[in-house]
Amino acid sequence: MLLIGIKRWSDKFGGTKAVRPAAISMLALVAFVASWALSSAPLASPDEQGRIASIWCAPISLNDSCRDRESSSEKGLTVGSPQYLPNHCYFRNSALPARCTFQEPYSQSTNVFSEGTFYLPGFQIIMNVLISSDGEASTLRMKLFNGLLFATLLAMVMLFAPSRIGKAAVAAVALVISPFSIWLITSINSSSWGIAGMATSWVFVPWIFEARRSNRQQDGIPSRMPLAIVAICGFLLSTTSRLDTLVMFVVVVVVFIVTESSVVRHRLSNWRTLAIGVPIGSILTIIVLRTIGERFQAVAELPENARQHQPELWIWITSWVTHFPQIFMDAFGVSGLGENDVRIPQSVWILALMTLGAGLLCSLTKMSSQQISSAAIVGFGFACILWFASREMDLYYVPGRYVMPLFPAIVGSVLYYSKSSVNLFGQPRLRKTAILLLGVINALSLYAVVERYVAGSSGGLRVIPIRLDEWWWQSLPIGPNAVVLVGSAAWPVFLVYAFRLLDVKSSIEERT
Amino acid sequence: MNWPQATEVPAGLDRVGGRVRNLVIAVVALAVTIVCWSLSSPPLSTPDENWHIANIWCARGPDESHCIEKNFATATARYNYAPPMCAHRNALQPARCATPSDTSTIGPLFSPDGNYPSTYRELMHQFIGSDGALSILRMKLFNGAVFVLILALLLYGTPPKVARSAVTALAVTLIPFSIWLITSINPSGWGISGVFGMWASVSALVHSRFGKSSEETQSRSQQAALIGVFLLSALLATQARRDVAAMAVVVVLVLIAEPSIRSWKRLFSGKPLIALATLILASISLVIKVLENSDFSFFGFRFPTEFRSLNPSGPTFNVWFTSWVTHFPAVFLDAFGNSGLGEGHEIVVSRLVVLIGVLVVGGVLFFASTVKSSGQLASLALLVFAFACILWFASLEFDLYNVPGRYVLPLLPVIVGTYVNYSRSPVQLFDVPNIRRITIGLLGVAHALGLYAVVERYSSGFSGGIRSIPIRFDEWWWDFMPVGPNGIVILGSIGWIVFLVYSLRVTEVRAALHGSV
Repeated sequence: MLLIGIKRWSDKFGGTKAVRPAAISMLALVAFVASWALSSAPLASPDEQGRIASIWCAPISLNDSCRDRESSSEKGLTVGSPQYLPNHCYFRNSALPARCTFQEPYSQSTNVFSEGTFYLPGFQIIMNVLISSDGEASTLRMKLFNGLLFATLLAMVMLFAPSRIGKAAVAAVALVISPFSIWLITSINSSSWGIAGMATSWVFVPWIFEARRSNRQQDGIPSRMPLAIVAICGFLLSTTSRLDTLVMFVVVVVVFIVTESSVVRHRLSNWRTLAIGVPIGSILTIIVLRTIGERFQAVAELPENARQHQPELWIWITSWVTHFPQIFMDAFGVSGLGENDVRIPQSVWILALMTLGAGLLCSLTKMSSQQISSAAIVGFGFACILWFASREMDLYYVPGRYVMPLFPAIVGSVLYYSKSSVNLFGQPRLRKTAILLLGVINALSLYAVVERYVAGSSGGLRVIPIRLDEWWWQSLPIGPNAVVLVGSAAWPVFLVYAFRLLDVKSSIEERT
Repeated sequence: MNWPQATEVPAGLDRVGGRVRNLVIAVVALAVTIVCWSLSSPPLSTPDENWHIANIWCARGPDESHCIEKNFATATARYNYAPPMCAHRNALQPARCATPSDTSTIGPLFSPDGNYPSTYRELMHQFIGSDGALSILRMKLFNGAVFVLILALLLYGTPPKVARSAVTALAVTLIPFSIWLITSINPSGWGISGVFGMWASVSALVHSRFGKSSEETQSRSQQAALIGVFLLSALLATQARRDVAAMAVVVVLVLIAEPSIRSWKRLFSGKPLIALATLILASISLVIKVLENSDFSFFGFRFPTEFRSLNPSGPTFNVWFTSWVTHFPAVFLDAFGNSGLGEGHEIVVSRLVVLIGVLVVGGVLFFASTVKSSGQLASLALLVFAFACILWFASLEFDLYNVPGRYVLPLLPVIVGTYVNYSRSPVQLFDVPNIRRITIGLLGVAHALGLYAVVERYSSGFSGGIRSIPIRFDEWWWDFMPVGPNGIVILGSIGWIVFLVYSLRVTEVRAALHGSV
């Protein structure tokens, strides 16, 4: 069956030349996500103690994984104690390895996010299915499942989407996924699904329009089936992740529909429309901001004793406008990973931003009016940040992970709608340089995470001094050093063969 | 893959007139920018300025007008100027705070055999008048004018490719820290101007000697301009700080050695061979000196006769070495105001400035990487040298993560410029019209934010946002000026953008005329 499927795929989409790069890139992608899934111990991701409680005490559970579950009328929360109490002595102390000794197990009851609040129950229910008697093995199973889910969606885009869409999607993922997003994707944090869904499913709207424009009809495997799977999965993942991610998904879809609409495309290229629309939009924006401005308190960079409640409108708007891009830098580990206790070398974000800058500047060589869609998503991202800040009451501590699902869509739309003949991954030498740098970024980040949780952070690079039986995934035949090596090698291999596959598909599409 | 067409010379433009016109506009715009940066901050604003003021005022020893006392035993000097201290390191306090009651100040003295040669402070001493603040303004304007002169001569005298590389390097690395230092009384400003001028002039001379025959032939006036730049820059670099002098020497050696790196045939020809051999021997000596006296369990170096250790139970050699290798690029972020500006780094520069800086540098380097050449190894050599400098400074500061970026700022434009200069890419970042416009826009925004942050902090105190600075002409320290702080920000911002536009036009007009794009 598998061979038949491969043959039919190669006949319809890529030809025999595409089979080898497709196979290698899939294997490398699986190795990549598996390495990241293995990189950190339970309790590593933000708020994970709450997540564990939420999953073990999911509203619908097929196993006896929760005790003392009861609903509290106060705030509508459900409280419960999970059967699994992970080792937490290393928690927030980066000098301590994961297998450290501790006095008391983590026994405190933890609030569970109940149905109808910010975290919808779908994620918890599905993760609950993967629970077994071994808590650590259960979390690993969940992490691997989430990672493979992302890998599957990305693979579907690569294999079935038109090559131009595939290149934009893979390039966007390559430029922004490491280290924060991939670490979160391969965790049991519900943001995992939000990022995985948004990073791969933003393509389905352009995919629909491109399929319509090219009138592509293929026998056997309809091209629309993979498209539908990607779209539906993206919607489901966003829906079951977090409520705000669902809103992000809907907004991104609407933006792309508006951008692709022939009527609007014509209007967008009419600069008089923009000249009228932009000032009107700006006035409306200021009115909205003034209305919600009362909720926002201080400019956090001022010392505590100098912060004013409700600073002048113009000061707080300009302060936020000039600061909010920094929040997206969390994608490159600027604020660290873990519970902010995994320090990522500064070279990582510097190299990542340089590579991203090169990618964006190349795509702006010849712009198109449709690239304004990325500006619209950025504007929406700014609005999301304002909203999160209103909850946190402080702009400068808005965690970047809240808006991380938007990042691949922003970058992807810039790349996809570019009319430039030059792009970062299109020119062989630029591609090699970019992949090399992205490989270094991934390797340094993966190492930093693994080392911190295995032996404690040293600040430099070394062979991690630990035996197979000393770390928490003891049943595995490989140790932490091998995880780092495999994960570091897998990412550049994936990128090389993914773009080779897309090049082959592109040449076939041009011929047909 | 089709590279986009580089910008062409506009039809009908008089060729010679176009060059001159663009050059004049670029120089005037830069001069306006420099003046605005000079006016952006009052006395005591740059790092260690109390040291420099004391040493400048007492450069010639005690006299009746400027220096009251010079005491080498206590390494202090008392001089006849009392800059207001109430705003010192307090970003919320405007500079025009209470007038000091004292008319004299005690400040620290440099050692005669220390890192700072005396020529700089003796020259600055010439500008001292009756008003201390105006005296400092004169010094700042003079230092800025020297930089403008160097750049004007370079734009006139260098071959198009080198000129383009020089302008590119300055455009992406100067804002905001370097330009703020250049227009200050901190000798590091001379260091940045001097090393850059030496690099550009030597690159031009090497390019003329070993470059393509299709390049324009340098006229005598252009050659004279280059030689003038080299001599002036050498004076600045050697008299700024002794470590900067060493940097300048290394830069020149690398540039002279570069042709021999590129061509095995030239490897055994006279001067490149000597330079290469000297460079290799010096590098090996430095590395041996550093390694032989350090115990790899410690973050430390054996320095004079005393062994200083940072971490007695420290890591192994490979851990501390790899820690430094993965961290040291962050030291250069100070060029974009990452650690803030001001004497105590109390001026918060918007993070957007840092992000734009890194993003644009990345774009420049990637475009220059499209077609690599072995000559770009010279840039790598300079980067390694910069790393060695950072190690050295860290040994003095005892802490890698607090090494001030300004110590290695002279090397940053040189590293970027060298990489671009030796690139064989058919098109560089600023050659593509759309990208040029976008990049100039981004750099303009970064510059405006940086200049605004400095001016606001010293005028009315830091607000955290952007606003029309609420201060009248007579309320800030340059109250004789016909423009206030808001005017300074606006003029400086416009000046920078105009400079970028026209300086790039100068290089492309010359390149198009001589077919060397």
